[in-house]
Amino acid sequence: MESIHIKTVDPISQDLLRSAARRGIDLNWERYEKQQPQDGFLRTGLSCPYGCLQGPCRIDPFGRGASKGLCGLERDGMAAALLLRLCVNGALEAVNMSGKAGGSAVPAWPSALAKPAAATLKKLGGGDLSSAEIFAGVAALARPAEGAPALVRRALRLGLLTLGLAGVRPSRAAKKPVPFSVGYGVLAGKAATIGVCGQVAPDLVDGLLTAAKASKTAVRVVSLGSWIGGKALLPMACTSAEAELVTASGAIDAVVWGPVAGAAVPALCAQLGIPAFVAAEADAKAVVTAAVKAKAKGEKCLQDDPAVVGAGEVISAETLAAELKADKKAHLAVIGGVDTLQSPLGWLPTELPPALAAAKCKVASWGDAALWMAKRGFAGGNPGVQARVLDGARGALDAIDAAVSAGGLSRLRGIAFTGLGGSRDLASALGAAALGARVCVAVPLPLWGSSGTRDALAAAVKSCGGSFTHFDHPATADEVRAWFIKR
Amino acid sequence: MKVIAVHVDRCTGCKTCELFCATERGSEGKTLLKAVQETPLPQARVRVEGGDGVSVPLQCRHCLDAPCLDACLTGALARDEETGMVWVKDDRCIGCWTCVMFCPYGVIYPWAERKMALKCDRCMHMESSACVDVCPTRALEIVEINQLGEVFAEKRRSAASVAAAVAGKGGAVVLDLAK
Repeated sequence: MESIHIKTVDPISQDLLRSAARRGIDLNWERYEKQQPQDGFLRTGLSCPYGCLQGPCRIDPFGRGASKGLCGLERDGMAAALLLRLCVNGALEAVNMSGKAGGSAVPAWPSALAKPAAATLKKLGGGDLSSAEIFAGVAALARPAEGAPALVRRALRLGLLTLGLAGVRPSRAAKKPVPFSVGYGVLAGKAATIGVCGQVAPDLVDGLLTAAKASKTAVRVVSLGSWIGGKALLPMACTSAEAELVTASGAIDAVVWGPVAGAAVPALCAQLGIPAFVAAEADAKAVVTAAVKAKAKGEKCLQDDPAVVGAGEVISAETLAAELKADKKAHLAVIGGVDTLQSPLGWLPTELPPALAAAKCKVASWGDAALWMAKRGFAGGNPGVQARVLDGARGALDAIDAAVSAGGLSRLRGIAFTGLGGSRDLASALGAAALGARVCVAVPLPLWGSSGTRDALAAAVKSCGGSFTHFDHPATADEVRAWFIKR
Repeated sequence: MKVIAVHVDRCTGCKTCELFCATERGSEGKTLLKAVQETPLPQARVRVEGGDGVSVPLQCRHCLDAPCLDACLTGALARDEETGMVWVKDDRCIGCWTCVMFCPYGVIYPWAERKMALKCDRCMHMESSACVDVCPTRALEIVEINQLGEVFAEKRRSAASVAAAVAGKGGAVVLDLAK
């Protein structure tokens, strides 16, 4: 309880955490604490991904035990192989998100990035870049014989592929800016509330909204941290890491969850008796009926305050580029990514924008980081800081596109990932660095057990004109600010 | 006197105790990711040995009649009067490894880079032991040595009840507690 203030910067979330603790409800923070320390071999990159099924092999980071895996892979190779495996996974996620899972997927570069991407690919070995690269990566991992530099180069190619695949689907703001709202205020009032989280089909969301409108009792549909929208974005009650907290608050009467939502929210619903529906099988009318029925017995621990809502709008790379062109002195500083429990929720996204604005930077964001900025008023309404929000599925790509379109990568001060929500985020970060951007990841990567792999990565990224910074600890706001300011 | 007890049936051989012993007791950075970058590399005072599907974390037993204490030529090894732990006075150790050779369990380690012997002192100056804190299966536990008698008594009672059950079925059989 005494450490609640370091779990999140949001005072209302802190109250909800205390309330959940009083009621004996375990949330993600409790699970995180019980997992400490997490597997040390894997965290240092010295645990083999176990693809051969003859291991798992581990290398002693302190140099006393095993120095090679069963296949003969040494320390640097093992860390590089893990990096490659993560990038293979990231590229697969990107292929799936692009909607091209059935066939060959190729990057769709915005016109401004076509030449830089081709030049980068040439530096990384040339040839074509498509989803066939994933199979080549898998083959290289079956029993890795290549050294760390070659494995790292493969990882960077997959990173480039992942970043380029984000361009296959147009930005949700391609035609016009898309407004959004976020905060506990969207839960104010007496309406029965349906929470939606994870990847949920737009048709189902539209169906829920229609059924809610037709209901005799007031019913609303909100998102629990996911950017979900059919015709418009659903109002968001919280960021993704706070979904359980909101579910435990009693303010949610039914939940619809899809892939990527995690196992915890449905389990919490079962524990608290909240009706939960799998998105793939959910019937909109049944969900609304269940929410109305559950509303009668629900008890809300959240104080009603409709004013606790931040707002903003999602814009396209073209709009951002136009703004950068209009303000020739400004540099773009991008802070995006998901919440991580490794540092207080909201810390980096709320500390950094004012500091960067003071340093004459134009701040842009995506994902949970953008939601925190909106909650703090930085995405609209705060005259001191006006952060711009990009489509979460293409955040890093749009940022680079905007900078290059506005005059070149020199307009981009850097892209900082506050947290990584999966392998696709890591691969995108590597791809952005390979494309020539300054990239920083604020959470430790499994590379610290091998200086050889870290050096190989730094050298490969440098040869492409970019830079990739990562830390051996969760980075503080001061460290990330210093990274942005330093040229 | 408190000692570290090992529940062999719970040890999975993950070596987490080794990693974090080296990190907490041997490194400057005190975090794993910093420790693995240090020179000389930190060393653990606990080691997991095993084979045939069994693994056992081994650390100093702090023998009541410790051969290492008698073997030490410089008085670097001493027993802490308050806790009963045998520990190494770093400034007195000359790295002769005599204690290493005398230890019946092989749990005093020569640390050549630092020219000193390395052994578990149960983190006696800390609130708790690093290896015990981090063990994911709670295979390591700190117990009061005087209470070990109760643990053994419980084991005898358990064995006796199995024997009684077997005897109740009649006939003479070999008692196999593993079953």
